[in-house]
Amino acid sequence: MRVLLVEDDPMIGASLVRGLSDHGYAVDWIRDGAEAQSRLLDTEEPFQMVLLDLGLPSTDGLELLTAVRRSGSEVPILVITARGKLDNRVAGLDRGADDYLIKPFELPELEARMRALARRREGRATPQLKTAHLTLDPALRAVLKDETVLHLSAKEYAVLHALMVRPGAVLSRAQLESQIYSWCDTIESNAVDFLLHKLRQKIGAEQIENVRNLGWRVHT
Amino acid sequence: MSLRRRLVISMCAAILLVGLAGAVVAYFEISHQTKRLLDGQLRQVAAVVASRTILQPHSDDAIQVEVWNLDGSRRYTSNPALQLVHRQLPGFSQIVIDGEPYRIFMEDFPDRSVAVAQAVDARDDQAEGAALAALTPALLMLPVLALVMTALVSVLLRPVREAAQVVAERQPLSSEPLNIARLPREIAPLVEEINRLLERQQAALEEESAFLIDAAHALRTPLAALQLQFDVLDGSPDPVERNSRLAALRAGIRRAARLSEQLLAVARTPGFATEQLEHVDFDAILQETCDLYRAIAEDAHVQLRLSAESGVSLHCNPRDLLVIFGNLLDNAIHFAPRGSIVEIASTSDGVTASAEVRDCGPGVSGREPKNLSVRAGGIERLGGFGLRAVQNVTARLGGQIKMLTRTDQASGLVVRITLPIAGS
Repeated sequence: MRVLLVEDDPMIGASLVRGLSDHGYAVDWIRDGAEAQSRLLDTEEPFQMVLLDLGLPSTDGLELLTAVRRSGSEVPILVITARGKLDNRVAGLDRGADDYLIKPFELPELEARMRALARRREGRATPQLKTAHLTLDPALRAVLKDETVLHLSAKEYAVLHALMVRPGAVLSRAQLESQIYSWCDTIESNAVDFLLHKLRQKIGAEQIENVRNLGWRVHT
Repeated sequence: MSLRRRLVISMCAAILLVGLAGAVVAYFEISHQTKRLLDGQLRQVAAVVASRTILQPHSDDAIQVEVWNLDGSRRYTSNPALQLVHRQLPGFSQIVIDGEPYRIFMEDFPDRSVAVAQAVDARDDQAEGAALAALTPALLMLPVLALVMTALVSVLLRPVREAAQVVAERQPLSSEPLNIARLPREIAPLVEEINRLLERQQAALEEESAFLIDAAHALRTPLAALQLQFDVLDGSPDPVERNSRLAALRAGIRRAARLSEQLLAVARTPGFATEQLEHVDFDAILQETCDLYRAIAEDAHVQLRLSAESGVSLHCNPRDLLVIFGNLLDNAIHFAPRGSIVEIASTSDGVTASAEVRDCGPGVSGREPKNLSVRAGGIERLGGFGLRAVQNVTARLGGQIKMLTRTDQASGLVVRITLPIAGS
């Protein structure tokens, strides 16, 4: 999942990038509100989640929130902030935030809220993603094939997760790349092919189908 | 001692003193008047005796009478035992007969001389009796007067007592002003002053609670960082990456410790005045502050440049200056773009010492510098806690803060601190 992190504190930002990357998220970290705004209003950027700190140096987080929602963007936005007062929380949610987490918070809670937001956005109530043979549990980051636990690397997990969000839907190489790599990752030209190759070895080649010239999809 | 008791005691003492003095004066006056009356009585008796042709003995011991013929022979005596000496000078005089003093009146008439005498003791007894009879009721009224005074004082002081009661029953942190409507004019100013004190106290309490809120708020960010740095410690199998995460955690702990130091420095502000003040080399303190923040500046890829040219010393606690310029530098480094320069420059005009901290971050946009106040948008940059620290300490040192948008660069903030020089 591709996440935009807007956070001006270097320590919090660095730790969030590390923690989320460990768990297969592709995190783009921006410290400046104005830059975040231009990135978010650029519809070419396929972020699936925004983590937004409200106390930013140049643009206020709330203004940024308003501007993004006014542009019609429906990307889930989770506000992470030290502004814990009730009116701040209400203002944040009313201006279009999907959730509100007050600093200090623990990483597992942030991730749980991110998963919940993703479920809501995908229109699911059940936490697991399923196909005929595969079960992916985002909370445990566990993948089962017919009751057998599979051990996947963070990136392999990210690829499978991207494919299983909408089982049967075809994702192109560019779409997969944008969801599993952040903009500062250096992507080898055949990195996605390599990841898919490893993944198919682990879960069975028949589970992922290559649709010629279009991309890949999981077998429903 | 209570005002009521003081009033009662002093008024009773005054009543007693004045009453006794009056009684003494009255006593002597009344006895004097009585003696004059008795003298008149002697004169009347003499006149009566002179007009009588037949003189009979009488049994009144109080007044003795003797009558002589013109030739000096005794014609009558009321008490043969008494020998009033014949030929006293006419008028009043005092003689001693048988060791007892007598007041005597002698008058010469055409056919006789008459002497009328009265024992001085008897006269004194009568005078004393008359004086005491007149004074007794007045003296008896003294305690009654004291009781009435006491009661009056109690009644008149009731509003004061009630005010004291209201104060006694107040909650410790209540800031509601005391009601002065029913208080006498003499007490009202005192209560008004107390009300003003309560207001100031309330303001101080609010300031303190605002500080606590700011402090808690300011601690949230470093605590959040610590929490996350801890959460990601075990996330990577790579030993190099793990070491780097440990280093990040250590840096986070250092940052939280530094902030808590700053908070402590501000929290101790009211007590600063009692601490030892010393003559502090202004430029040296600026140098020291720069050294403290150099590592942080390097982490943020910001260069610190100091030009300390004031050459003055200030009479203050050096920690105060560290709080002011530490916060300003922290703020400037935080908002300065990567690769830019943060400058500190000190100057002096002989009366005051000034230091400016300049950065190239966002400036004070869209506001007249003179209208800047704590809450003005431009200054929010120097957020809650840091600003409060700088303001508190600068105000206590008798200095001023000015924040200006930088004009020699595309953007930037200049914070100028002006402080009085010791002894000027």
